[in-house]
Amino acid sequence: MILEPNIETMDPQKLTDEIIKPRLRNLFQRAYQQFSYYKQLFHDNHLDPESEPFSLLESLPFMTKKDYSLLENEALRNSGKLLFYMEMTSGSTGKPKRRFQSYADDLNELKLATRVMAGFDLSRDDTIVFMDVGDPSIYLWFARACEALGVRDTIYYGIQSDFNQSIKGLSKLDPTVIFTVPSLLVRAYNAILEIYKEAKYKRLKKIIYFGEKLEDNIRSRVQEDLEVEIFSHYGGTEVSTLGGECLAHDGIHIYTDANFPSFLNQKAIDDVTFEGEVAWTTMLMDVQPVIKYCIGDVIRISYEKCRCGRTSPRAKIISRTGEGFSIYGVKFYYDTFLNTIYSDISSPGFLQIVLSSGKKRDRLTVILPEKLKNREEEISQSLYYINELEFYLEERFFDLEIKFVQNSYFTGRKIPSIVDKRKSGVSSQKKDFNQ
Amino acid sequence: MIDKIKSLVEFAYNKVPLYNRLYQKRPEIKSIEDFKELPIITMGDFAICRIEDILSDLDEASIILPPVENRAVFPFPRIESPLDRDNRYRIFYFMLQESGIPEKARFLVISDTPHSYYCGEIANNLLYYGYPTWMMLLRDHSDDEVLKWIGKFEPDCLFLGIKWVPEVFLKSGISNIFTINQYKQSFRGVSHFDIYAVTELCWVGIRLPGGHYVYPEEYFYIESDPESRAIILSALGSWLQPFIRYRTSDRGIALGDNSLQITYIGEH
Repeated sequence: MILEPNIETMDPQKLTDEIIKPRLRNLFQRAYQQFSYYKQLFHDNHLDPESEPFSLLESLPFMTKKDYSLLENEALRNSGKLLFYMEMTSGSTGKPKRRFQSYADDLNELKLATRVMAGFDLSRDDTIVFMDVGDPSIYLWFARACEALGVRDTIYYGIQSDFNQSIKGLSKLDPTVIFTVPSLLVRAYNAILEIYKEAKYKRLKKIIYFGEKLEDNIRSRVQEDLEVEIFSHYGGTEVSTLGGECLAHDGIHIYTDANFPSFLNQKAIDDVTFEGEVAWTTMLMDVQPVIKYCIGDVIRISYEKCRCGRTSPRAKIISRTGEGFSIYGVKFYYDTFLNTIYSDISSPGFLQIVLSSGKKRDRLTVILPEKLKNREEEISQSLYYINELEFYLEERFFDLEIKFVQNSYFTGRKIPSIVDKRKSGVSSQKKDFNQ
Repeated sequence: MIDKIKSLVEFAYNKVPLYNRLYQKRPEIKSIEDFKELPIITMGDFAICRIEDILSDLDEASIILPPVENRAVFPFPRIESPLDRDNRYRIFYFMLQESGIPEKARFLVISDTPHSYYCGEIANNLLYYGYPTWMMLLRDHSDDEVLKWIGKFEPDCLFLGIKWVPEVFLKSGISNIFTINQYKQSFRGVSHFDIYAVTELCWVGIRLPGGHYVYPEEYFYIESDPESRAIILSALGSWLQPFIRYRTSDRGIALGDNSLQITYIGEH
């Protein structure tokens, strides 16, 4: 279903001239007036917020996660009596990043999410089960978007660390749509498969995922085993909903009338396809807009018209930059761990994070130089209290291990800051699928 | 208790411009009687201030709970620091313990859309304390559909975050029912627990079946105005946005022994 055909199927040039350009102009003016950070940015780059919007966008520098933190308090002040909500990440600088929302933000974002949900072709008769661990707030927001489409049955299903036991109850709910994060889907997959072996639970038609990349081989496997259609929702804490797949399943539709992409190190794949690290400009965000903000994703974007009739470009997520990782959809950043362990931020030491799959649960291994061994207990306690991590450790969703190695491990060769071996865990899980 | 009150008052005077202006000079709190001499504050006082004048530190604002119903004249969210959030969790744990609901009991939280964020936090707290929890949003479901869904979950407890509680929930066969601000109702035939909550303060206390509302005294000092019976709350666990002698739109009688009889709950 195309919720707003007048915009979603509009001629791209017309969309650019009539909608994107005025919205960019308005954004630059607002940003200049309301944020000292942006004002300084325009001044430092000798730019006038009234200039032609696209050349201005081209001239503005890319915004980093560190820059983002400079917006926060002004956004809170600007929201004033219209403050509605706040979303938070685990933080890339040891401190969580906060995005404040006004009532207008809530409505704008809900409208966009509803448009994305419509692309998943949900119906009033669907039973949607949002399956996750911990905080259900993001799902409540998705549930409101479903409600706007007339869907009646939306359920948040809290999973406990005993996946098999927790998943059993799912069969009674007999959902038609499961909405979850890929890592949880993979972790719970054997239990889900067990349920769906029985023909009586065959109402499941769709799986919608978000928050993490779902590997293609896993996606195909789930599609085949469960005979379901899989859709991806794409977004981020700082930019909210960006887009989603349609029934054509040929990439994620990006709604450029709301969020405009720019690229760092862009390379052309062909006449209509480009690849690079994407930076977003949020034109409809009210109290905390971003301009050319790098969220850390490398995407390939195609401007070719989709079979579904939408004219918006479609993205495929190629990779995420290596500074962070996700556990059940919650983002954690290397710097958070680094700053927690090394109090002197100006002279950080060595650290490597390794994520691996255990038989019962995943393992997060923090590798440090042996000279820190005498601080093991203190470091262990500090890590335990990293925002959000406490819950996952307390509830035994994964194990934390601290490993000390000789200095030469870090100095002898260039080592990656984060190693995610959970993909191999997925492979072994895949073997389990065959059993 | 008095030491905690004194610390909060001093903190608010030093860090929050609204209280600094309100008190005019550093309050000398040596006893509860001294404390009761402090001026009462209302939502109106907060509403005319800029946000930076009611918070102790903008950098610490980390959690926001949206206004529940958005019907008050000045709908105001609850804004918390991580410390305030932890205190709120402890208050929730106090209520769970008071209820006597055993560990691992299964909860089904049922909410309408306006209460959904608030109830999401309830689900979040229940999960945090190890209670298997599910949540469903109530829309135009018929009584039969509601019963069907409850039957599918087979919970031990229902947590109802809805404006009014239809009879159907009493027919569900679930013996433990939690509600929010249903001070007038006391269901028979089930264990009915009612949570007293104020949007900008979040949950305060719990009414046990057949009893009065109880609250954790380490987190609240509650007075009631002798004439108007207005409930005056001091939240000893809210440091980012302190509420000191805050007159709510609710009425009741402070009974001592950290208990409260509520006679009216206004618009939040």
